[in-house]
Amino acid sequence: MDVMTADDFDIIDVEVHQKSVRNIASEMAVTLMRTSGSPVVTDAKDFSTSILDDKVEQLSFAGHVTFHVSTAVAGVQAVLRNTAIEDIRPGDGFICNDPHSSGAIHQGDVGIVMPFFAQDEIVGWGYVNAHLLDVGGSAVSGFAAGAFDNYSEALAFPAVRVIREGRLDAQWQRFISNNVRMAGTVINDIRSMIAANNVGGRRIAALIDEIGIDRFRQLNEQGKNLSEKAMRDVIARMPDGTYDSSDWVEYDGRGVEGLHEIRVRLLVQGDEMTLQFRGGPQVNCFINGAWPAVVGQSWTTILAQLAYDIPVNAGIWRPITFDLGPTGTLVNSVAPAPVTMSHIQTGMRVNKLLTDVFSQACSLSKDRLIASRVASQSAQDQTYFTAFGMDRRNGQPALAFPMSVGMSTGGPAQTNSDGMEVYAAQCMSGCDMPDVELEEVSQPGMILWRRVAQDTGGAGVTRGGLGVDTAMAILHCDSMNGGAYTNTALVPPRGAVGGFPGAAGAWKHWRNTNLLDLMDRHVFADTDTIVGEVPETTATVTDFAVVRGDIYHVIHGGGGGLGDPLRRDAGLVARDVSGGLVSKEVARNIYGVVLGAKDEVDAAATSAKRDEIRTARINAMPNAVVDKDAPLFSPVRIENGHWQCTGCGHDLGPSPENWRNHAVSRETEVSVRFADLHSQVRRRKDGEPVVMREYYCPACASSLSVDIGLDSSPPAAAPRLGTFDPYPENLILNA
Amino acid sequence: MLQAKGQTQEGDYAIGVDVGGTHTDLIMSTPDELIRSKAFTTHGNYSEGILRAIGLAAEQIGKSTEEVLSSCRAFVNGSTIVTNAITELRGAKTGVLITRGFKDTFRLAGGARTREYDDQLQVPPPEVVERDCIVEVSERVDSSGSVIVAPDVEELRNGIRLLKANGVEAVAVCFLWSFQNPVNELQAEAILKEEFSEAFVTLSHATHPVIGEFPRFMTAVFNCLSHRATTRYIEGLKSELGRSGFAGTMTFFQGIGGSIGIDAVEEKPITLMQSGPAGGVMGARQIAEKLGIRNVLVGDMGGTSFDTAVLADLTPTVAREAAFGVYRTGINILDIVSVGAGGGSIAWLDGRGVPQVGPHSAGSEPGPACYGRGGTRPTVTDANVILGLIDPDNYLKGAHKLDVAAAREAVDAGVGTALGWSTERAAAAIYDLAVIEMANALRMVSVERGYHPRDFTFFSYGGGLGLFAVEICRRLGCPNIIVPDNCSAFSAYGVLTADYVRQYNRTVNWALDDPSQAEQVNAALDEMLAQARADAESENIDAGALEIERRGDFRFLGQVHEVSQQIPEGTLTAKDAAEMAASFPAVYEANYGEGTAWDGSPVVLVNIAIKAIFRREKPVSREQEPLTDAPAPAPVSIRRIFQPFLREEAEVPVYAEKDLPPGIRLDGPCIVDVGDTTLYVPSGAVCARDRFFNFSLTLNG
Repeated sequence: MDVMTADDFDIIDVEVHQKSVRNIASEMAVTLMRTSGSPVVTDAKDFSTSILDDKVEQLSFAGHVTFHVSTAVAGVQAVLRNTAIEDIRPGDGFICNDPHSSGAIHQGDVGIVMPFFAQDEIVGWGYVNAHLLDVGGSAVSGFAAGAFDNYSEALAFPAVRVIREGRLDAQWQRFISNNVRMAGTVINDIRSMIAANNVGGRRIAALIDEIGIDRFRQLNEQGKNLSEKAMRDVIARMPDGTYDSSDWVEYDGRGVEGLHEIRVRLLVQGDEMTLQFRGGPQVNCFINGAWPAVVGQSWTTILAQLAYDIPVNAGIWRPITFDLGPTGTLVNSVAPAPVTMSHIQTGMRVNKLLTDVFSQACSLSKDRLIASRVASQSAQDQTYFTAFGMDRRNGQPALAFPMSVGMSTGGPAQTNSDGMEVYAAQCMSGCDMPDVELEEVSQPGMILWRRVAQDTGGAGVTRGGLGVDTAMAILHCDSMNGGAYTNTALVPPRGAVGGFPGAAGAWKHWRNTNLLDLMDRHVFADTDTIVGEVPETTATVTDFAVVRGDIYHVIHGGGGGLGDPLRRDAGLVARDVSGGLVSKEVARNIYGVVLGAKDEVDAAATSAKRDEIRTARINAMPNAVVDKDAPLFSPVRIENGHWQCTGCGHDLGPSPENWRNHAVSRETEVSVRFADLHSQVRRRKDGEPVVMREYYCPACASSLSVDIGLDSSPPAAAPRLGTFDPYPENLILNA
Repeated sequence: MLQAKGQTQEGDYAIGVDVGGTHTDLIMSTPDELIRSKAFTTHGNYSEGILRAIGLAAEQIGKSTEEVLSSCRAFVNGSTIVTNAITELRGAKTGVLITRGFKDTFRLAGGARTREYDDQLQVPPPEVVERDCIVEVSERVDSSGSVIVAPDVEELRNGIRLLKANGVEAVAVCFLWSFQNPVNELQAEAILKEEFSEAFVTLSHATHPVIGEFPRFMTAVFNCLSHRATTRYIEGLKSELGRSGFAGTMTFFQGIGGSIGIDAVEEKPITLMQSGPAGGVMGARQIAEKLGIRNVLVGDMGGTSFDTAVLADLTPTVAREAAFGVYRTGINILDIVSVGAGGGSIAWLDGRGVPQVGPHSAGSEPGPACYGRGGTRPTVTDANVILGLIDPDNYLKGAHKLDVAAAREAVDAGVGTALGWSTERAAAAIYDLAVIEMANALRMVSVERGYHPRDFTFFSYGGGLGLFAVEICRRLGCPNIIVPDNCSAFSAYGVLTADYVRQYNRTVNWALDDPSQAEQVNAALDEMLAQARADAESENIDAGALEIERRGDFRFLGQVHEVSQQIPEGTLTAKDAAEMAASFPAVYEANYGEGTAWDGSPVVLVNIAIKAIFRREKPVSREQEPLTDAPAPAPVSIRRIFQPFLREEAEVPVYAEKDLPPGIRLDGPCIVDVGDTTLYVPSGAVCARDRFFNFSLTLNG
């Protein structure tokens, strides 16, 4: 039934119904959050709740973690694959935490599926997913940096029934307790997830009592139709065509600085789109993506950039096709591929790929709203450690998983604003950063400082959010063992539409320090007083060992910038300098803003400096001036079948050829160029170097694009409007 | 305080005001009755608008402002000044002394990521303190309260001089773990006194001695920020009212729902946050108690928002550590849920073609289209005009003539035409959506907290709500509605009738399986109680007459969120500890459901709180024996309306409030014109009036 021509007040009934189902999903979330004991849930909000109908279609999602949009569906499907529906009784519950068999993102994110009954029949499903503090195996907190296969990673439940009559089965409880670190917290969090599902089940049953099952189903379908229509409207406003992007997943945990290419191709055709992902053969370390992470992280970016105001339900899936190519690749791995970082490694590169292709499409859209959705990549450097030891104060087991230390990465620049600090990852909506005082209660140490890291945000008209520089000293355990990780050390987050890249993440392990001595002598411990050794390590350390007095020190990356930094408001640059967010040198050399003694803008000197930078960019005096009214976030456009610089109208060759062939380009090894930006990235020592490629208009010297690639990779592709050119079905990269 | 200590409080009058963004509402109690008046708020010098309202009230009883003020025993302020200072982040220029390494605490804001998916909403929070007014101090206390590093006096002096040179007026001292050991903050205070004695100083441990530095620091900063506006308000009012002969007691209404004296406000102005809305809640509580009603839902509809709260068994719920925007604080205020559904809320079509109402508002400028001041987007008020629920010729006692044609044009253009609906049906849809928004907000404070609206009475006040109350309650299954007398100045009424309330909080972290800590907790309770008594006496309140409530925040060891419940009377013993621990799982499961308690985990008493209450004498309100079988009065007119629920036209009688004595019963559909507000009684509802002149609306069936 077409809801728009149905009884005209139906549309409002549908809205009321949708809100009430959404309220139920939210209430499930509140129950989980209020009862949980791990800051991973209460502060980082690393959980989600979903309600599905008896067709296993989503009715509502109260995410915090948006990638669970996919795992909810896959989890319930796994339950039904394993268990006959006649065998499922009220109060049953199933654990799904295996990407390969039960639709999970990674083993640490545990899904609990419970049926919702009304009048003795299954009318729907509740799905609650939370990151548990530990899931056993070689991984502390579910991150098995050293594992070669999924069997050695962690406990992996293939959608098995462990809950009966609303309670965790005593036998299973004993089994789980015997296999995880921090059993008390883990079991209590599972109880909280059951409580959340119980609340949802009761509320859905009450709702059906009130309106009847037929009305319930009818309104659900109409709600899906409305979301579908809205999703189609958004896609229809993006230009038809083919858009490409490449990125590289990093792993150096075994000493070799591996970079594994993955690609996306976005095909927009009318009001539908196809997302094709391709990668090389799956590898024997924890970075592999599987269906749940690749599709789930796709939803993260779709929701953040395009579909932010559409109620999440099965309707938004309908106009989108996900094509992950052949199985056995990095983007579509199968057992025995290790996958405990599938969401953070391949998954977060998926976010970056999609931000890139969507921004390409948005920047060429004639629709003002869609054009305003251009965004840079967020840092998403998940740089943190987890470790296990014994608390010397009470002899109890202690687990280090300092959320605040790990999540404070810079956010993406937007057309309406600079990026934010403490954006964490794109999938972590609503996450808070735990207070220092709360971390010092739950973690075995002390936080020495938590400072914004200058110059880490990518330069642009709007600037990327900055990373945070944090240090935590280990004080309450004599020794701890675990892993240290980062997913973004070599290949930094890109800017968009001519904006510069943001910093990659970096961390240091200070050993043999004088910290305990400083504390004994009542001397303030800071960068100027701490002395110790900082050994050179890989970015991912599979056997991270710390002892009392050691310091884990992270300097997080920042978001990319948006638009040409020479067009940023000079007053905003001055404000950033006086606030310590941007250095005077970067203000001068990258933004072209010259400041006086009191950090005030010297307008004449700034204008001259900006001209000087433009000349240096193209190694010649510009022969055109940037139109001051030219759009800030759309550096190239197509006029009469030709690419054109929007700043000055200069011709950049015929479309759909790559306009980059007609721009002035400059290629530099990334760490060399980053030294000019005062930014950080790890220099790749072996293998092909990572390079930064800048493209400028030959006439007005506007920054048109700043790309990141490998030395031998071809120039980034330009959008091909009006062309519909899918990847071959069986394409495997580097095969 | 204006009054000398020991002086008795005499005088015929008591006055409560609610200084809002647009209007200053006033309720004055006289020996015989309550008088209400309304004036425009005069930003910049609030006393002006307040005096105008006093003048208007005095006029009604044939007195001059001076005659009223010179025999006015009490003047209670409800005011939006602190709310404004904080929501607009405009107030005293504030400096911060903070533990070295953490100057970015305010910028990072504990993680400002919102729950919304939209990346364009994930933006840096505004700088609440200018970055060059944040000075780091090399000091550190650890989680056990041990001083790792004491502040260096020279460094402190230099930092304070820098703040002074940068022109700050107020200084917040924000050191980690200061609530465990305040010695370093006290040292900073001592140096501040030497170097910068004119500054207003707030120590984080003194204003909110609770774990979690971000809310504690924000409380201190907001306290500094609200200091200037509050001081100016107090000084201005003191001198202006004093000049007119006022010699009574001046008190201020807090967001927690009680009033305190000038000294207490000057020390902790932040407690005035959200004072106006809290006034309405406490007014409803007061009337409900008089009517013998125990369970109350309140609703207040203004121009831009709808505020609602729940009082189960006459106890309002409290929002602990209330957040303002992205800033979490340690302030406890009445838990009032606000949604963007007011008279000026704009109706629009979303990306799916579904009509929505709010949260955007046409405000007072340009206002709804029917105001004829250039507004072109359809608002809730425009819908009411089209439906005939508002008389365009007699809006606010005829103060504005409304433009019906402009309202119709806006509703057609914004909603109706796109959906192929008639103007009336589109207006009815807007009306419906406003009802849904308000009903959902009520559901949040009731159903989602485990209360069923059928067990509650809905108190409806604020100018516009009388048109919606019955339809909201129809959707909620809430059968009874009270529209209180003076409903259009109801917050002022609540402010006037409020009790003295002060609250004291402290973190104790008592693991109840270790009885040895009892002594320390008892000492803390004694200290807090002594403070409560001293504070009361400084306001001429007999400490012996205080009601003391003691509550604790409990959780299972390892959890993050607490559940609040009362703690036993007297000195706490090992037996009390065991009993509190034993009873907690049941309390917890009542909140979160059976089977959710953490078996085997010790119970921790995290925070203790003392609330000191002094019940003030209530003013006389008008009362009249209800008539039995009162004859229906003649309607003042008959109006054609479009009934939104039935979606059909009807001719309905319009009654004037003055023609409706206690005891009257009117069957819907009809309209009651109260002058500054209107009640819509739909078909199937009955409107009656009780002995205190409150209207009650009841849904049949």
